[in-house]
Amino acid sequence: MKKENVPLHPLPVRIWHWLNAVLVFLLIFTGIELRFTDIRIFSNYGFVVALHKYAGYLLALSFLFWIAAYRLTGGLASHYLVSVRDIQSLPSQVFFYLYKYFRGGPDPFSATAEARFNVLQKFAYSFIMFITMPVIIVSGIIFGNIMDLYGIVDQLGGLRVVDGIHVTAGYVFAIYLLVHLYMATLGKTVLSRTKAMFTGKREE
Amino acid sequence: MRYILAILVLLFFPPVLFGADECFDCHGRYKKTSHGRLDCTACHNDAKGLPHPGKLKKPDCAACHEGTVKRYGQSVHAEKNLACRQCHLVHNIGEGAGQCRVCARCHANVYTVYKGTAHAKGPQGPAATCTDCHDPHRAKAYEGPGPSERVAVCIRCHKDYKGKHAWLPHAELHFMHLECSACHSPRSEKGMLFTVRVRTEGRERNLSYDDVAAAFGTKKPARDLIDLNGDGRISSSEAVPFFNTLRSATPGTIAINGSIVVTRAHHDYSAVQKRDRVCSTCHSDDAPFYQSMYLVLPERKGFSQMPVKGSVLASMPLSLAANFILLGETKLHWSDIKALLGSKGKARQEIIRDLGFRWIDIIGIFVCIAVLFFILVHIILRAVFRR
Repeated sequence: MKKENVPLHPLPVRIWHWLNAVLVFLLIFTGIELRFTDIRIFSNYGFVVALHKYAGYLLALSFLFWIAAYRLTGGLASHYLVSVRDIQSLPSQVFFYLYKYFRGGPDPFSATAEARFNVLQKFAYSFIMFITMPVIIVSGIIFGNIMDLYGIVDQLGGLRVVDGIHVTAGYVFAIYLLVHLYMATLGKTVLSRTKAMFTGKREE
Repeated sequence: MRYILAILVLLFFPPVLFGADECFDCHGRYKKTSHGRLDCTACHNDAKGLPHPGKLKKPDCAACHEGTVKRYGQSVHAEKNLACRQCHLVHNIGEGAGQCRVCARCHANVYTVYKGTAHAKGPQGPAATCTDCHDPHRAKAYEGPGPSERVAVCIRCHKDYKGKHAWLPHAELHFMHLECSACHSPRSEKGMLFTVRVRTEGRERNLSYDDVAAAFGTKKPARDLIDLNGDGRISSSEAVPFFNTLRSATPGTIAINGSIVVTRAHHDYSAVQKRDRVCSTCHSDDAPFYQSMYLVLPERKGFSQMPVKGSVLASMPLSLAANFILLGETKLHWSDIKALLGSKGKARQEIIRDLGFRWIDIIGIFVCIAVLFFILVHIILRAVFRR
């Protein structure tokens, strides 16, 4: 088989991705310790609170960077917006992952620099980036500044409600992450997709 | 003119016929009392002439100290029928109220602890005596004042408390719900109190017994109106109808404010956990006050404190204590799941409600496990088909 490197991930996207990866893992582990206080991952609870807060702020900045980068380069719609054609391709994509993949059949979708994600990825990534992330960031910022934003907390129904929203979004993100990490192993080899996120090019 | 006045005084004010000096002829030991600058007859005004009756009436302190006596009438000391003279030994020298050993006569254990603390040992005598913190004329039963009233006592001296707590995340929020002793008296017993608040346009106040009586149309004690089965605890099936009635009949919004307070004080405030700044003392699922949570209800006189789980008040359909969250309290335990699976009928309904916001964890963890299971199946299939 001819080996060809398809350019897929531009450098800013790769930097953004790995910065996010570090922050997300920090946030998940500190988040677990904040939620389940008897689980000791880091030794000092005060440090965990600070780490979660500032990693969260960095993630919020990273999210703004992501939006700004797409505003400059374009392509947000082509990568993330689910089109009618995408919907039409849904059954074949699901059928591929559930059956054809195991029979060695070809992936009905082929990623390009212009359209990186298949319909399932589009659904997942749009939901995460346009709904979960804003919810988790806004509720997190409220938690970081409770006294300054007490009016909003009150309007939302109290701290427990804001906490409920933040934690629910956290679980949604964790579930997405499990799938994301597993899907990253479904390339040509188990590590080829992860490698592509470092090199920017996908081996075909 | 002076003679006429003297005759008038003699005619109309016979009590002043004799002065203090004459009293001291018999009662010389009272010469140097704290009230020594007054004539004896200023208080013993039924001693109108000599010899006076063998037994005089008890002096009326309110004749001079009207305001103090009035305030005192509302205090817990008055409730316990303590007379003024039991603290104020008006005829004794050098032992007036305001000295800790007067308080120690009744509060011996507290005094013993206090004696060894930083409050008792200042470079120039005690840094704070009993009455510097506790006004005996206003003293309330311990559960009476809220945390903010108690914080107000400490910050009379510890003015820079905010600066000293700059390290504390959400310091302002902590001060809203905690009193100083919650951290600064490690050996005190603590509990979580949930007080019912009524919010009307721009104003917030504590629920009064009149609100309860008006809502239920009865003069029964509030504790009997909520604790329908009389077991001394509040379950969600008891809290829901009580608060629904209260909500529909009381103008404004009913809310619940939670606070962590000392339920049994230990007066050693010196051992400040050695400045360890250990958050997990409270922020852990085994913090002691999770076992002592009380709903404070106003009664005709005083309050009732009914044992309750915080999650009962926070969860649907009440959603009352929604502005008070203590990380750790909301933690899901394996025992919660076992209790849920092992229960039936009405008991299960209670558990479902009590779980409250912990349902987020139950569903979240379940979906994570389900996804991991699906991934595992996919991996097995990949291995089988060599993909």
